[in-house]
Amino acid sequence: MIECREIYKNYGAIKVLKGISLTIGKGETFAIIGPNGAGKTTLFKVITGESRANSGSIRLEGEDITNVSASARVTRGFGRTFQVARILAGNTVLENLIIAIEARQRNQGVKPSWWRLGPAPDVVDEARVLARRIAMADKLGLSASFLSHGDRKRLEMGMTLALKPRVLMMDEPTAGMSPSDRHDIVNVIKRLRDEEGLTIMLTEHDMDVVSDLSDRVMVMNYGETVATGSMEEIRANTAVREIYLGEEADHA
Amino acid sequence: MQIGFALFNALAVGMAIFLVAAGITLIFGMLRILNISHGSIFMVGAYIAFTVVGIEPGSISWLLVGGLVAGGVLAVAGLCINFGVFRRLRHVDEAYSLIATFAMLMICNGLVKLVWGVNYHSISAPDALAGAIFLGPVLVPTYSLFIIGMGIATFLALEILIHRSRIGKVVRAIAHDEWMSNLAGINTPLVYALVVMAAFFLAGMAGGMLLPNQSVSPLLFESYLLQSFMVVIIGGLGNIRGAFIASVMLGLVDGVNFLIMPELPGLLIYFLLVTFLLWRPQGLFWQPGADTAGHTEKAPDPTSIPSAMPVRLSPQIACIIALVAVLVASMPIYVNEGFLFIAGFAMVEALLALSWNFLFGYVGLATFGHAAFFGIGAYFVGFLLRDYGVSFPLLLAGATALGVLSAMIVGLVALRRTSGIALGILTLSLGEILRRIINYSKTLGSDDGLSGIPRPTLEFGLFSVDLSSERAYFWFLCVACATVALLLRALTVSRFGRMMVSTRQDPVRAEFLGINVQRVRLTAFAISGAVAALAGALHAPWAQIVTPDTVSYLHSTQPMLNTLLGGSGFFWGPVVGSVAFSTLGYATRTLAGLSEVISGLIVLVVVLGAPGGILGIGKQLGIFRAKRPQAGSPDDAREGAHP
Repeated sequence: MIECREIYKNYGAIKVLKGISLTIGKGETFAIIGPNGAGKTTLFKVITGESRANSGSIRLEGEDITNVSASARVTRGFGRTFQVARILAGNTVLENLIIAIEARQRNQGVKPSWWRLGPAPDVVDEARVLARRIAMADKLGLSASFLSHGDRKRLEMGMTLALKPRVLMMDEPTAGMSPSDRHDIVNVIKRLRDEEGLTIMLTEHDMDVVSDLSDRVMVMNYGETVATGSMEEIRANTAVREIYLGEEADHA
Repeated sequence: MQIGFALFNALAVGMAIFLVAAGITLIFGMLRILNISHGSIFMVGAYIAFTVVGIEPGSISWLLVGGLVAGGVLAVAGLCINFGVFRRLRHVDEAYSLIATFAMLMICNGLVKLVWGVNYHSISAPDALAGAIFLGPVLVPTYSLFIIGMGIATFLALEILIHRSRIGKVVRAIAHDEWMSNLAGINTPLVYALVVMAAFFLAGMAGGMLLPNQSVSPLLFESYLLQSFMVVIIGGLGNIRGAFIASVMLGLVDGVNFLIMPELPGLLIYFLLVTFLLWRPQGLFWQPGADTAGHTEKAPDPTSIPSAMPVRLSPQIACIIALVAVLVASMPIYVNEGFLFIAGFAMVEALLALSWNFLFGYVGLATFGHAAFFGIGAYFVGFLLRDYGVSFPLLLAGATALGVLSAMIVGLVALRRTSGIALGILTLSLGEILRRIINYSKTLGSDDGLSGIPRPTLEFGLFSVDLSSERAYFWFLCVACATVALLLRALTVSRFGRMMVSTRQDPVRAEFLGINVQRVRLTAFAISGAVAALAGALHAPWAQIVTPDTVSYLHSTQPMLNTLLGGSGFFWGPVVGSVAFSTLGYATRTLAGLSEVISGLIVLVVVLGAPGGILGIGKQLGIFRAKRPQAGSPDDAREGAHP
């Protein structure tokens, strides 16, 4: 599904990514972990198209998308959520979902009827269904600026799902969430994985979430891949233990 | 030796610009406020100094005394303005601080007219500076040398103060990171106040020093205003060294301009600025991260986003709208000619303001050159209607197309490279270039503009509608403006409208919805330019004269003032603002100066006290409930009770 080859990225003199390669299969849930500053988010940005790699290539189902803009990658099937949820605070929850659904329709080439003021009824219906899926049906008329952190993340997830992506990229989906919110979002992701067969890539600090969700895990440190494999393999890996134990030693 | 003379002249011009620009740079570097009123502050300084020294200052020291007095008075004024205005502007959207300082400019200009009258005064240089001396083979006016000396002295003083002194360290620390400096125990409000006072003092000093340089008149504010912006932009975010170098550059370019095309004064500077902005929008001396800590792009205030959903009209509102429509349409019957004339202008201005806010409110792009599109439409129609009698509907279509075309060209170049203040200054420069070219063009009537534009007759084959009477054209204006405004409104509640508000609020989120943000911006720019040009096209036969003033940057500020006064977060805000402004202008039309002071004060109060504008106040008071409509059932509104 996704194939990255030898990705290098510098910010000025600082080498953030030093030749990262990875392959994610269709329907796989792939987690990237590593200490802060390891380059996880940068790798994410390069794959989603927010920033360009200095060298290396990215392919989506065989198609080279290295030089494709972020919005064009979305039309090819990427969906992305952020560490701090990005929603449209000046709009209501319903409008946020409508905007996302309309964006998808536009990407699919659906023309709006030119005489209609406002969104089409089928768009509004779809938005309501979606709102139930993300458990926000009771907040449709609320301005998104009043939402709690967890609700924002949920809404962002809903907007991303409205795009019907083939690949879901989530940067720390549970960051800063309460345990119950965390539980909810993990269940949503599981359902997407199991029922809709989405390919999912995520970064995460919470190891329980990672082992709960992912098929394969990649560990990064200082812009390099330390290890890739199933959670058991990663747990057994000595290099990985060193990084994380070292981290813990620092904390202590 | 011609060259040597020109060189000294150019340096003197450059240093004169620097003397004014130093204050703008200081304030911009510290407070991130581009103080548009600085040119007027400088003018007030010049008038104060003039009051002190009179027409013939006896000696250099007398000139200095004048400058010092002006500087002192302005420093005190600066202290008040800092607490009354600047302190409130530090954390608001750039566009608001630009408008607020523009309001200050209006107030200053009005005050000058009220206090000192509208006459020109020529001040001669004191005897010691009146002559010229030979520097080697080059004959140099001593006054030029004096200005160059003052400029260099000011630069050195600021340089030492900012980069070599303890207070400079504090100033730079605050400019770098205000929050952290506060934590470190620096009294930041005090330092801000001192910097503003210093900047105002410099403006007053410059006013005194430059007295003999030009005549003193209420138009003085203009002579350095735009140049000093350029210095700030080219020099890079409030960097004094950059400003100094940029001033010298501007002086030299102006000298070259004088040598190669004296008939088009100042044109080359604008070309330089445009090229520069496209090449290096961040300025000469910008270091990544150095001066921008804590100044990451702010998300706009959620309440300032206009709704992109259709509103269902309540019967009461529908009645009010119908009533207003009838009142406006019947105006030719019950108002006098002068008032009708103003009403017609108000409609055209409202359309222009709608086109501006289409860009600002929905996409978040503030242009400072919207009058250029307006002027293009007005000149196009005025010229072809008067001299060739081309059919009017064809002309309107042509003007719209021309608006799209020019906006596409500007947008393609400008939006790719700039945003925020750089975009504002870039569009402003392009507008000024256009104005200067029109001024120069004999075909377009130069300074006098095109006069005697006839009102057209609409031919529809079987029948024709004669619009030559004032009444007929007024009704035509009503219908045309209302139609275009409603079409624009329809566009804002369409899918495209919702795409626009999403790009304004969060371009990154919009990208990750698959929206091509750049294309949305460009499309909005083109539509906005088209409507502005159409407004100009409708304006020409109504006014029956088109002058270069319609293209000037002062006219470009009108749609912004109208929008902010009415409320930028509402589609109809610009219309409300235009009505309010026109009424105000009509009520104060006989009082030279006072009208500017009053308009300026009102704008200032609105921007500082109620950034939502008139409609925003109305919304807060609950006079009308702007229902965020729930396309579909009204249940949602109940379900999601607004806290």
